[in-house]
Amino acid sequence: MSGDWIRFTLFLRVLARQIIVSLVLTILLEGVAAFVAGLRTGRQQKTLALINVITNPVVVFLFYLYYYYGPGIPLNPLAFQLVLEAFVVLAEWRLLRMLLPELKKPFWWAFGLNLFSWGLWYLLELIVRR
Amino acid sequence: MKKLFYKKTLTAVLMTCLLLFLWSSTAMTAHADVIGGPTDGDDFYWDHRDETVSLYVFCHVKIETPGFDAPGDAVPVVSLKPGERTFVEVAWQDANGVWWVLAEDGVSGPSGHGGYMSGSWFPMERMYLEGEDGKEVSALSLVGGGADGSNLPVSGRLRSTIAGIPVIVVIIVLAVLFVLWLLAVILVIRRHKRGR
Repeated sequence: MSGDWIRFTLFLRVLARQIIVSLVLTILLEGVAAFVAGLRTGRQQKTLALINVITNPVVVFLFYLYYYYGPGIPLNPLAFQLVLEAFVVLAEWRLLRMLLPELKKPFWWAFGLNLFSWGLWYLLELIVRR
Repeated sequence: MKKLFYKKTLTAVLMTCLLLFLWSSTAMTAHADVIGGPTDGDDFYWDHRDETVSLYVFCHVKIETPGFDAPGDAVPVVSLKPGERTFVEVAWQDANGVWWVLAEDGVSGPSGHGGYMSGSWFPMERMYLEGEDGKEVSALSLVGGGADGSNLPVSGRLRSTIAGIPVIVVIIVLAVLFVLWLLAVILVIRRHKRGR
């Protein structure tokens, strides 16, 4: 079995697992945070989940693609995550503006929800891995 | 009515698949921990991952017998009684494409006692570890070192038995996820059009 194949299968396994875990947790965390913050109708919650379904797997895919097949750029994984999160905030801002026009400050909603879910996720990882 | 039934059935099936996958995928953690987790080892890996540094990663799989003082970060991960068997999956590659695995006393594996293996992505997906007569294997550690012989932790965590899920299952799950993602994109576009 060639090394490339082993690496590829590892990449697929980690990717599948992380996409599912990350998506489920993000939808739950952001859903609860948004509910507390005032997005309480079924339509708003569904829209938020839908937006996460679009953005989250892409981020996880890009992160692990970089992790396994990165071009050797000496970029800290945490820094790379933050760069990806910035793009997520921008994408979710546009999507929220498009799909939930009743929101007055969609950018701050996107920023706040992502900061919350990413921050909590990061803290959880720190706790679990120590 | 019929449509609703199919919709609910499909949702239930998908949810079951996801839960099953989540449950079974916990066994894959070690892949992430060895290769991708944010541990000391990963920092080591990433910090040296450029073309200017000639780096050798020395992976050291060690089975400790009680009281044995292992170098590096020894993390108890698996308890094997005589006759019990488990395996670890190790895959680590340094900048030069060389990595080493060393199995020592208390281990029955392809490497034998005190032997070592090397190679570029050595095709050792599973290394079987077995408790031997009169010995109880109490811990397993994965320790890395530089080319100068210094010990550096490669991974702080390596969990017990790693059950590999067949690649085809993983590919099917990823394909289903991709289809769901496409559906979400289509839904968003439709909602947007309806909104206008």
